[in-house]
Amino acid sequence: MKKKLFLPVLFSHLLVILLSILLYVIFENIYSDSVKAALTALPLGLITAAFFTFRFSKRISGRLEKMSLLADNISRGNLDQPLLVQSDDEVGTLEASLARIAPALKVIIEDLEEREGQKGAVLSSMGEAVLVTDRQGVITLTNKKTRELLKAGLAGKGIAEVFRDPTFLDLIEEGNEKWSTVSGEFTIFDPRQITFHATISPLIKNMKILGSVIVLHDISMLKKLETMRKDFVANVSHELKTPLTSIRGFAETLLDGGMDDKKHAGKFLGTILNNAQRLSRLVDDLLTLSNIELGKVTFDIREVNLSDVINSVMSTLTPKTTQKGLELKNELKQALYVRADRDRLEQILINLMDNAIKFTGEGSVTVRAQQQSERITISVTDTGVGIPENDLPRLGERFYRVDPARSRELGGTGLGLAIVKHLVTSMGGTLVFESVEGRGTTVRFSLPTA
Amino acid sequence: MPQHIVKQYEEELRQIKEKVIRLGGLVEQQIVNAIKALTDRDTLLAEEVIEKDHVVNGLEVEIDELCLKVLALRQPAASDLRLITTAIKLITDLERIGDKAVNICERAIELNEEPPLKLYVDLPKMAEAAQKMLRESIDAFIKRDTALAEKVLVDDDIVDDLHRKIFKELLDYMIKDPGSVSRAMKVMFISKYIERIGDHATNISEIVIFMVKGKVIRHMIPDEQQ
Repeated sequence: MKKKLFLPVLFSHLLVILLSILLYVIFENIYSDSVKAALTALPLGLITAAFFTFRFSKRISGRLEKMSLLADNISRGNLDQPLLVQSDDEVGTLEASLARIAPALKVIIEDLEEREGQKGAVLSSMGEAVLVTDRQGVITLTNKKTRELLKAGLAGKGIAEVFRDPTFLDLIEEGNEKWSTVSGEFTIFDPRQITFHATISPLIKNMKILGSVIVLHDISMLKKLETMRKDFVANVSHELKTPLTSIRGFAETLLDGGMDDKKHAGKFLGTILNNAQRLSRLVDDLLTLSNIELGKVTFDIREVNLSDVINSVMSTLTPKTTQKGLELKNELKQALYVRADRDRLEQILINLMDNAIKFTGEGSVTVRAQQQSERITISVTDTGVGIPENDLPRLGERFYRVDPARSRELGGTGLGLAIVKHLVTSMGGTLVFESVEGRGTTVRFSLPTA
Repeated sequence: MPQHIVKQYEEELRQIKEKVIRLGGLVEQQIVNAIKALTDRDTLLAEEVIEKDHVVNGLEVEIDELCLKVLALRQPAASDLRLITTAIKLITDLERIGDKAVNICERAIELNEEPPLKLYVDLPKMAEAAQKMLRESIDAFIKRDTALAEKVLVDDDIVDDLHRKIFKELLDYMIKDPGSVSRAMKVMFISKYIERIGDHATNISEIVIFMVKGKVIRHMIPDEQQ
């Protein structure tokens, strides 16, 4: 059974009454006047009562003060203040409840913090940029990716200030009007030209739109690949169609009576053969390229004597250079050994040197090799037409030609450098172009030493 | 920005700012597409840009009305007043830039009906510079960045120089090949339009500098510091 606080109050009151009666009896005997006795006894009783009440309430108010201090602390988040339960009465019960609240709150808060932390970790580890806005379009939450992407503090800014792309802003409005998730693509007019796929979901609570959750996925790379694929298909079709058109046209002409004109017929047949050869070169190159890309080409990597390879390539190409009146120079001074697939290395060199010869009117084509610590850099330098600076980064793209008409005229498929680039990469090197227009070009690649 | 007692007023000011930014974005998109239509010889895209000009005009009128409404009903003072007057001036320039996008597209459509003139060498470069000026002038408005606005003023020289260069090139071309005069004239017009875009971006930057510097002056007058 718990102590009741009213008991001491009752007790003090009873005490006053008893004391008053006792005093009254004593004073009545002294004064033998009941009125006088009452007048003296009552104030004395009241003073006694006041004294007891004061002492008692002071004790209670002290405890209440402690409790309010504790409640204050709790509201400030300070949950580690212990509270002693001093008695078993009602105030004590309150003290006990308060004492229990603090640890319970602590558990809840820690739990919430943990969950919040998880959410934060999920948000910050996402590859997508996430933004939350309120109804007015003011950004209230962003994740790490968003901040990386936009390199600026965003909270508190209007979404339009950050992305003023009309397509995107219309999309947000559409989501708010439809009350459903919408998605679309847009490109920011930033020098970076990032294309985003945006998913926008309205935040709905109690039938009211509170704002939007925006998830942005950077699809620039995908877009680029898509464009490359489209370009490739278009290019292949075009490249295949050009010789086919010639073959068809000349064959039709021959059938329409051209056969009888012996003089021209031979020329026509020659053109047909030329184009057929070009077509077959193209198909061969395409197959080679796709095989390398698919990893179907196996590389027989072993120690290769570089001079052997260069000499073999030079003897293959010498007739061509003498015919054009070019000088073919080998500046390999010492014996160098690289780790490579001999046939592929020969293919690379033939390709590069053949290119150099094709685009050089007069002067020379020079092969050099140099050892730099663990790698050997091989370069082919010509004194030809050179390559405009703008075109340099795009060399090695399939069907990319600096001068399309001239390249075709010279029998190129537009795939040679693409193949070389793949081969070099597969053997662990990189292909680098340097060129001055009108002065010549140097192509460089490095391979590991044996 | 200081808080206003009337929440509606606050909302109206926010809307003005947001709509100006929106108009800026829309005009930027129009210019980007106009240049794309020109370089890609894409008549369909050009028609799309021309079609979309009414959205630009509509938004300009809308902002104008909103500004007048706020001026009449709220009697704004200090920075609010500067924002509104700036907005009114800004949207005129933005709308004019929108018109230039339409002009470029009109010429592009005409050019697409004829065989291509030699590559418009410096035109894309000039367009790029003008687009950058426009983007930065709007950025300067959003961020209240006077340094950026001043950079735009300097960049205008690049656009002007390119315009002069293109003008001279086209003139030489026309003298050499009189058959190309009608096409070259159109390209010349386009060059002029782009140069005008640069001028409008310069205007915007000047307005932004006024808007922000006005604030600085305000801080020096004790009466208005609150």
